[in-house]
Amino acid sequence: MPVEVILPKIDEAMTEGKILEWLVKGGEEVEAGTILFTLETEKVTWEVESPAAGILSKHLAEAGDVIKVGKIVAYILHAGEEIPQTQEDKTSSDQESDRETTDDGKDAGTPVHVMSPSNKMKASPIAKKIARDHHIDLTSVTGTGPDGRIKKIDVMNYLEREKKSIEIPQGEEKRSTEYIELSSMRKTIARRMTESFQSVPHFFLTVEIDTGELKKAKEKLAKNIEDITSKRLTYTDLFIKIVSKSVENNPDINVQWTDDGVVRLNEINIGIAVNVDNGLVVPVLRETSKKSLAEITLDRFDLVERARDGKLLPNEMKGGSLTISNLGMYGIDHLCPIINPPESCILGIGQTVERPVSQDGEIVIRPITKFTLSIDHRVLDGAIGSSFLQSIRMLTENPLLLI
Amino acid sequence: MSDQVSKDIIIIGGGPGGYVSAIQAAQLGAHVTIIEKENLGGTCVNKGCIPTKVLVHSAGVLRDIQHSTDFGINVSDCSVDFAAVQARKNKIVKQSRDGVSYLMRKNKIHVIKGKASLIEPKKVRVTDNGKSETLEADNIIIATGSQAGSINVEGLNHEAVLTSDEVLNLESLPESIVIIGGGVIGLEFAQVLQRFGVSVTVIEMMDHIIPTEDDEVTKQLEKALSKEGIAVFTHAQVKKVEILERGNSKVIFDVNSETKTIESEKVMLAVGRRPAIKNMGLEDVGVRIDKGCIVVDEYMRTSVPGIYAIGDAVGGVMLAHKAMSEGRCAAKNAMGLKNIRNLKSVPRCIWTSPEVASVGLTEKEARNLHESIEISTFPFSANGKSRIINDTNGFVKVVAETKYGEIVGVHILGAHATELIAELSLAIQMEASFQEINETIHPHPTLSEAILEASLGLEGGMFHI
Repeated sequence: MPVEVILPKIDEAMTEGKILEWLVKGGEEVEAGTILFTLETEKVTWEVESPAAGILSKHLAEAGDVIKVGKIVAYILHAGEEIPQTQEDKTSSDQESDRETTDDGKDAGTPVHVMSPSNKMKASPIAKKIARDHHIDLTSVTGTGPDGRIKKIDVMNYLEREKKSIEIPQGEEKRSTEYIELSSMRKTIARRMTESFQSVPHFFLTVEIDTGELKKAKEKLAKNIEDITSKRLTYTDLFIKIVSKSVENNPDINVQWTDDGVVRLNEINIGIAVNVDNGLVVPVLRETSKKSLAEITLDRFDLVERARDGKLLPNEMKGGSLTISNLGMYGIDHLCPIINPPESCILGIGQTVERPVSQDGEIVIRPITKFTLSIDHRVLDGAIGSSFLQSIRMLTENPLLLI
Repeated sequence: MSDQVSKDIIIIGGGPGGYVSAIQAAQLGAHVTIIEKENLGGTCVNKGCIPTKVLVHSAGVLRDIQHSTDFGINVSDCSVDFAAVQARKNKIVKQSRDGVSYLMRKNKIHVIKGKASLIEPKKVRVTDNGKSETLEADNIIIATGSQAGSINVEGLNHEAVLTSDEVLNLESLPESIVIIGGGVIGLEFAQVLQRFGVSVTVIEMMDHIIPTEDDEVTKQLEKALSKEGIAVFTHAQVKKVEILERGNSKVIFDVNSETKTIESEKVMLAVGRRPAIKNMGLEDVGVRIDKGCIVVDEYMRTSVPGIYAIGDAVGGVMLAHKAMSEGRCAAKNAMGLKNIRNLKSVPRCIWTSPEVASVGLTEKEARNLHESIEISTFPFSANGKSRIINDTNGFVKVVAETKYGEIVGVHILGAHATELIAELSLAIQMEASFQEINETIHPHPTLSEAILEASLGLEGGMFHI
């Protein structure tokens, strides 16, 4: 029996993925576990292994194709076997409806789940075929048939509108603008940030904190940490530690809003915003309140490195209590970041600036950093936010308390 | 539909389009009045679909009996009691007409007998035997149907030249008849009469009989009719009809630049039908008419707000089921629902033997409309059930566009073609590809397997040929 190679679902929310590169050519022999192709999802790049030993069939999808989860992209064949043609067609057409009748929690590793759902989408067979050909999500097409059934004309009209909306006016200056294809990551950022900014009522609390003592502490600890971890200690590591301790001091801040009720998190996990090529990811450090600074440094180093290589696992970007976004190294004084849902706050940290401040009636020059907490007002109020920031101030100004 | 506002709707015409509009509007909560000048049921019930098919069926029974030995049955004596055939026809017509009356009562639809004319966009005057009354309504649906057409040829307006209405009511069979017009009506009558023993000649002006149908179908049908003994002249121009003193007629016509004369007992004119929309005030209230048909949009609205028109009165394919579909559409729109007219999956049926049924585009039309098409044809001679019923003439021809395999036209010539076509109307309506037909299990042994086979021919090959 030919073994199906399907586009795996490596994350609950994943509906499609892009085949970046085939690493095995059609006709080549593979072992179970041989990496067949690389896959780009909304968040990560992933290597897909062969489910069985045998000969890889011709590729049923090319590099660059965006494929629905569960669709067969190749087969592993044994001597004398051929690609089961009709099966492949059937799966792909069923797949279309599978996506529409969303049924979460499917184990994408088993193609059986992909085959089972019946053709329930209210769209004509031809409408579905055209949509599949043009990678149109039928849920975004308005049907004009009976009871909103999507007909061919509806998909054609949708295509026409899409085409018009991306057409560049061809004047004498040939191209004043250019159309850039959206990456999955860009789409995800756009979707999540729009959703957050539009549905989460943000409010912002800012404090200016003297980071002179923290700087001293960092200088003292740096050598020690490097000896243990062979990695460089960063301010981010110290901020992770400070924030974790502050969450511990203010457990009420470790909550998330859902429509069904407020969820309290029993772990303290801190996300850090990492700038990567063409976007941003937020890996999450686990149980940071229970970890030493050295462990945090190691975790942070590993996650940031893999984030930049696009090799984070989906669940490594989930479960955060809150996120730290540090733009100090970009020379930013003050930022009001957008909350990374479903988290309820995000801490924006600006650059450290030598500023004249009044101390005991004297003007002195001190290193000052602005910390801004963006807060989901549905679930958290000003008092808890203030208390949390006071804790950050206290620990930053008195790093010995971290011990 | 309880949220529907109560509305008064007048429907002019009690044919299949009119009475179905009436029922639809009543179901949606309207107060409906239907105005009919003759008999409920219109052309369809009284002098079209129903009575002609009764005659077709009797002629078919006769034919079966005449060929009974093919089935191992010997019948020694067999004759046509034409008066009894006509009586049966009249009985069925009456049953159908009474059925429509019953449906009107059941749906509390007010029926008024009389001739209607519009005096204002929402006012209708009904006159009957000199009496008249004026009715008002929120919406009016024109469903006045059609009447037999004519051509301008010397002698054709003589009363001895029969229309289909008159042929239908003949008390006795003539010895011979010339039928001018090789369209649906002409051919159905031609075959019925020929089977009842009348010598029949058909004269058609165009290159083929039923020129609107697929070429392959019409060619083979022409052969089948000729084989039964009907003389068919195509590309023939009638010049003159002379009524002779003893009552016979002489039809003079040109064919292949040669003038021919045929003498026959009767002449029938069957050159199509035209909308019956004259003298009812349509133009006076501003309803736009083009080429003799009421102009409507996709919601069946005329150019005057509140006035809808449907069925034969708006032209196009003049078939009862199209009128019914448009009637439902107009009534829904009049009642505030949005419904778009469906012209895509109207089946076209001809009750000759073999029957003709088609839906969608002919091969020629499909070639003009689509970049690339594929065609597959399966003959009934390779179908088991066809051999069982000893009727293997004809085929199923499926036309699909190449890119997505969408079925764009299907043409069936053969026994029970008119019953078989519904599946393909659905397929075209649903925008199915041939793969959907191929995945559908068809019962065995039936004629419907020929549809599956023809469709399979578009995907790798047929199985039983």
